[in-house]
Amino acid sequence: MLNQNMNQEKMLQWINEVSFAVTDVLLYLDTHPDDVDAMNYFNHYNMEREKALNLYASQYTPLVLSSTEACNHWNWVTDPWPWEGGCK
Amino acid sequence: MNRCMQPRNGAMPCPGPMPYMQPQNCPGQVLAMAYVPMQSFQALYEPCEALKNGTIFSELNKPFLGWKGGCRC
Repeated sequence: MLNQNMNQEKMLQWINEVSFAVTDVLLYLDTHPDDVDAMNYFNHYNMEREKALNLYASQYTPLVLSSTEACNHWNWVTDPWPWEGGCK
Repeated sequence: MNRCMQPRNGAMPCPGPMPYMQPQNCPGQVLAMAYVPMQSFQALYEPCEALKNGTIFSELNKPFLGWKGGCRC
């Protein structure tokens, strides 16, 4: 579960976990579009994902365009990506 | 020998028969019809376990155990 005390690596791991959960339940919902439990699961983890992405963007660097803010510097392109050591 | 079993000219003969297992039918099944049972939303992993196993559904966690036309077990 997301909390303010997570370090960058833990937060990125949590984002990967909830992103995977959301993506996997999408496949289930494709064949079960009226399953309320699955929709609740989707809503819960999709919200957790959004929260984590926004917190990560505010503390470190944006991972998706929807959490990017264009101010006086376009850090989307200049900050290191996780695979470039941005998580170390 | 059945003519169909004879190797063609130049073809290598089959190294040996594969072990044969008699398939089991379930009641009500008809020939040439494949089916997938409808899944229920149950037996979920926590997100960390789901990511490790590649599925949120423990019922769909089916590690590949086959090896050279047979089973490792």
